[in-house]
Amino acid sequence: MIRGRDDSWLIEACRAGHVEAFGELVGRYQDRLYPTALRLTGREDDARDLLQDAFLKAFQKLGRFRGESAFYTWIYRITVNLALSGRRGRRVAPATGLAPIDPPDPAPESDPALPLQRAEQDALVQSALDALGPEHRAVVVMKEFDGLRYEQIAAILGVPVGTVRSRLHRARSELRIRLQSLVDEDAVPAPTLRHRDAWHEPPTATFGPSPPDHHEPSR
Amino acid sequence: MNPLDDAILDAYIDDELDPAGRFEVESAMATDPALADRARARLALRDLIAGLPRPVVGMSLAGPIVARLAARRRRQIHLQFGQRTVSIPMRPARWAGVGLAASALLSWSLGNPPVPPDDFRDGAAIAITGAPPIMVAFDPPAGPIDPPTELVAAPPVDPAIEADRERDRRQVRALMERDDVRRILIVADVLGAGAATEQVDEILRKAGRARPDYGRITVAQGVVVDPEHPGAATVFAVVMNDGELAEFRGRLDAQFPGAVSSDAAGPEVITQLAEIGQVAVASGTPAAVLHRPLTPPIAIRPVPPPPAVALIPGHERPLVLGPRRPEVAEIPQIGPAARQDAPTGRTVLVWVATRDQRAW
Repeated sequence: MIRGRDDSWLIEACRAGHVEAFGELVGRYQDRLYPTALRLTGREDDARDLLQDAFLKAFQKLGRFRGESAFYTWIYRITVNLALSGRRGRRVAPATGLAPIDPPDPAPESDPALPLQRAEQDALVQSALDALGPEHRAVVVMKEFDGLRYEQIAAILGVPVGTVRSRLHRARSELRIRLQSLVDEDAVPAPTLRHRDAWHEPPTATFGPSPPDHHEPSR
Repeated sequence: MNPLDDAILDAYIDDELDPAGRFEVESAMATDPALADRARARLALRDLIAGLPRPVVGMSLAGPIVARLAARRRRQIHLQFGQRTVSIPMRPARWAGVGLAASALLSWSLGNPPVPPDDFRDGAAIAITGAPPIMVAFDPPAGPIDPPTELVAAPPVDPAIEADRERDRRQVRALMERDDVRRILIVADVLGAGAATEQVDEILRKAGRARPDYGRITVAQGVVVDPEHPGAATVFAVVMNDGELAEFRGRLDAQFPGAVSSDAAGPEVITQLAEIGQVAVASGTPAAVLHRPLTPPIAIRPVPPPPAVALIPGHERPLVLGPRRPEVAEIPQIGPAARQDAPTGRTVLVWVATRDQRAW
């Protein structure tokens, strides 16, 4: 049985040729990776394709996975870099200048139309993300959406931390222009700085060395 | 703080400042409303992006991915020679091309003998090498993969097969975890396609040993168990005493003359091998089993002729006339009791590789 096995056991099984073990890994992480893939690609079908390609590439490169990081960290890195390469490296929506996007009409909290307006707002934000260049979009998604630190983003992209800072700064500047009415400096409440956990997930999902393997009861 | 300090403000919003830096920014915001407004805008932007929905895929990607991997394995063959790899789809019309490619690579390999390996040293490994091999492996290819065209459920795992694998894995792991793993014997598959593996397996199976069973571990192509010995391999875990090891090495020398060298095996390698996953247990010939010839003139003890048999009226069973065969207990044997006294030996790994040995 492969259900309940830890990642390292499944990886070894994959290396030994048991592709069904890789299916378990896919099922384990597809839903955690999908939101990031969706923000990077902007389209649901492209996000699914990106994930499939990322997992297939991971299987091909499984021999190079040394277990120095968690499998999730590794497949996350593959996903981001795959999104930046090839056909996915293009801008999702051609950028035609930096014209601000009109926000949805404001509505009171009790308005039954609020969910719809929230959806419209999300669509505007995603549209602004899509208009960024791939490298700028990637750093914004990793920083703002996934809450990674500069060093983690730099390690994933293979660039210096300074490059991450500069890309992030330019991307944010562009986003602030496009989403001007949503982030108007006079229209938002006073800053209440709260720092999010890196992954919105349990500690085992964070970047870093793999946790020690659990002993298999059958051994 | 002036307008040029955007980088510091960004770092503050991103929680990338040290306590002193944070205090400096917060102090500045307390006295500079414009700076506080800039911070608000940055926080608002961050919250907009962080607040985007986080949906799930809505379908299982495992099925199509596993199906594609399995299909790739079935229909693709790779011919690798050193750093060169030729990937050919396994279609009937192309098998002639596979043969030609293999022949060409083999011819090229025979003209480029490898660097002779080091000599054997006690406490290290023996490597038997020859010409660079042709590796034939059924592995996922490098390069782009076509998008999936259909959704296929992952094949179920047979519980019986899984139980067998688990039992074998425990047995092999027990062999590998012995404290006395002394050396690795490395044999290059100079002919490719498992020829050396079968030859070594035959020698192991026929060589009588006090502990005849042995483990067989398959290392798939692309799995690097030991960076010093990369590539696909079959690794046998065998328990031998010094005499058995000397005899076994002699047989290997005879099978692969002049190609024996040494290498070391670290505990990390042994640990990884024990967990590689695809293992099987094979049985060999016990050292203490004697095959007693029964036919003169080479019989240890002449076998008496068959006794005469008479059918007597009134008796249900035939009446045996003449001398009887000796009882089983009278025949001298070397059985389990004797084998218990035999030394158990040390674990030896026999590493049959299917990759270019020159890099070693």
